[in-house]
Amino acid sequence: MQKGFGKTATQALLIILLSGVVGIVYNATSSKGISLIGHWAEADSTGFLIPLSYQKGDSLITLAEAITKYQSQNTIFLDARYKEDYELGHVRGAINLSFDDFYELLPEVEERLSKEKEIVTYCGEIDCDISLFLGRLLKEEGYERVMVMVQGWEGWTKAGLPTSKGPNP
Amino acid sequence: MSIVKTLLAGKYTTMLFRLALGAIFIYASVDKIAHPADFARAIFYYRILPVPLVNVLAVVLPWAELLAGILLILGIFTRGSVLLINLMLIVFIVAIAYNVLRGVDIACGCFTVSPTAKKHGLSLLYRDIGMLLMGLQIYFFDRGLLSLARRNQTRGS
Repeated sequence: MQKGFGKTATQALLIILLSGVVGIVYNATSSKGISLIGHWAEADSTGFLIPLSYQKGDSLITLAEAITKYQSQNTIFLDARYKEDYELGHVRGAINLSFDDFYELLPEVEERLSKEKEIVTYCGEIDCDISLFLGRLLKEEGYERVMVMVQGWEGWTKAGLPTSKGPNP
Repeated sequence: MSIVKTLLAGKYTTMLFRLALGAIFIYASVDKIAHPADFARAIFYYRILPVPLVNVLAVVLPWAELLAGILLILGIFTRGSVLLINLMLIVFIVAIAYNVLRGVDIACGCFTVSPTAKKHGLSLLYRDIGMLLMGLQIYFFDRGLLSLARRNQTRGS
């Protein structure tokens, strides 16, 4: 039964090589093919980072714009992360609406939202997507003035902006 | 004793594992081949691989899963394909365990302290460990029952 590891390893290598060739050829000819070198979180011409899951229709704002809106006190901040992460620390005054439990939580926080007011969503950091996904769900629910603060919680704390801890107010 | 041995090392167990593991890998690869961008994002969410390598892996890995799965079922290159499958499973297990330990939710690539995310990671981990046990059984005990390359294999034993 045993034929030596060398032969087995050669077989495995052959499969890998064949997969590489077939995969790359298929990818090049498929309409759903992707570029072989990934582009994630690209910066635009002004240096503003575009998150990887950005789609046309998402409204992105910089940290500076978020601060202006925060100071106007007329904007609702929504934390898209899990409850446990929110409770460890969040943008002071932000409401927790976890993307994962969106439809369960929406009825609870709905009365504190407003379709007329501006809403800013955020999650952990530039590479997290759930702030974008939360924004899209909110738009489906009729909250048209949703924006995403792409630097997220990480950017907010690094800038030394107001935070607080504990459960949803 | 002999019943336990038959169950653990028997040719029927091996054959069953071969067909099951092959089918799982074929099934798992099809969706990834059909949606490479989604799979690339899933790899990205593990936050382990250098970013430029993410897409290449997303393009090649599903085909390795598909080919190894087909060969395992057919019984051609059985040891080579099960070796490759076991190596893939070991890499998946290490990657998932690493992310469970450091608190990355691989469903979104988010750093989190949520127990929900941890539970999700652990269930994936147990699933992959189960598959690896099947793979190891095949690697060590395969005797080529119901396989196309059986004649060559038995001749070499």
